[in-house]
Amino acid sequence: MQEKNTSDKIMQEIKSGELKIRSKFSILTEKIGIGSMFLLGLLISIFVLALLFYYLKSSENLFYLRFGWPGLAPFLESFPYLYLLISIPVILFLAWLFKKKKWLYKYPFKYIALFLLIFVLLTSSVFAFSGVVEKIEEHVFRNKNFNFISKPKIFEGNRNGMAGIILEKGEGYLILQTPIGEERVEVRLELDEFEIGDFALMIGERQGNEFIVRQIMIHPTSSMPLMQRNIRSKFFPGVNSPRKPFGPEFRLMK
Amino acid sequence: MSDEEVVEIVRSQNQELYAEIIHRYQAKLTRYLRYFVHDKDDIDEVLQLVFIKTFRNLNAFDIEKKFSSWIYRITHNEAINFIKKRHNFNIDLDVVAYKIIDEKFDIKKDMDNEFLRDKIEKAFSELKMKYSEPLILFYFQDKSYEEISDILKIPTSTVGVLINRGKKQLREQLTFDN
Repeated sequence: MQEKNTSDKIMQEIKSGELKIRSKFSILTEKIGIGSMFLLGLLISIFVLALLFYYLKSSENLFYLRFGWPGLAPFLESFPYLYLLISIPVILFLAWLFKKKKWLYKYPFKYIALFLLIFVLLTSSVFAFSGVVEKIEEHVFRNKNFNFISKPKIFEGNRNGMAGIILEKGEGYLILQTPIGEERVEVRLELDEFEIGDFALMIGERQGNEFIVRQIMIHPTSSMPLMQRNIRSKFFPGVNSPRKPFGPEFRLMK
Repeated sequence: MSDEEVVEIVRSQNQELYAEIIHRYQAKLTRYLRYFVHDKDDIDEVLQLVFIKTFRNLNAFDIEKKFSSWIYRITHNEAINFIKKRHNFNIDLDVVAYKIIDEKFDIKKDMDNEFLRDKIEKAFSELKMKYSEPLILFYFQDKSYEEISDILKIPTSTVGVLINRGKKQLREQLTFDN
């Protein structure tokens, strides 16, 4: 009796047209929508991580570690946390979507999550080291609205580390061109080996308006192309030749 | 005619043949739902929802897969939704179920059958759903590991692990109480 009632009720709704089968188009649209969301998330995470790897490769950040333990503070200070703040939630969202939709449920979720993470890391590394991201960054650099791509630091201004071009050398001090402007630093080391135009990487500490240098290294400007461009944009806006080397003759052009 | 063939006909030619699907699955799904939903009216309500959802989404069913696993999946989801709404999960086992547990779960029974029946029901209700569901599907609905994997959307290897853990917990609970 119960069976007849349930069956009758449902068949009545089907016959009257009240109950309809969802169209294949609507089901396909739903699948495409979710698939697109996943793909977009994947592309964003790959792109942002590629920017992170590129930033680490071409800025002063990793070079601070060459100072050993004293370089850890400026390394952490200049680390591009913004890229991590974007990419980690996106990757977590992708993992959540996989779990919620029960895609590939035949395989344990931890293996899928691991595969996803390795895939994203590998693909973004390939993009970062192949020069693709550098080309994008150079192109975007000219558009001031997207400057955050090449300046992802949360903290502007250096407390424990600094990098820039030596503009002036004096008794116990140097003046540098840095991405945030001209900076005067107090140096209690021998300055004979440093020349104007050298690209200096230094660690120390800021006391009020003064930066006291503890250790200093000279690097070729070509090893940090991102730093080059950031300094150039600060002091020589509108100059479109990121590969032109810095030097005293360039300063005279200003 | 297999379920999949019936579904194909309903989708393409004759929607009234859906009555055959209802006829084939009503009793089975009612028995399955009784483990989660006690009230007869509630069972009818959930069952109707299941058949309505199944019909509405027939175009989403992949004809290469088993229809039985698909409709059980929908039933499982509706049962979960019902339990979440009512905040209440108590297993209600029938005579067949007790007999199966008695035979297969290796429980030391120095108690009379009524007492054992109450004990088993209580112990089953206290099991987490992730253990009780595969147990119910395997022992009381005669589903294979593969089918349970498709219904609950978990790896096949995990099905075996959950069943063994569920049995162990149930046995421990019942022998401890004894």
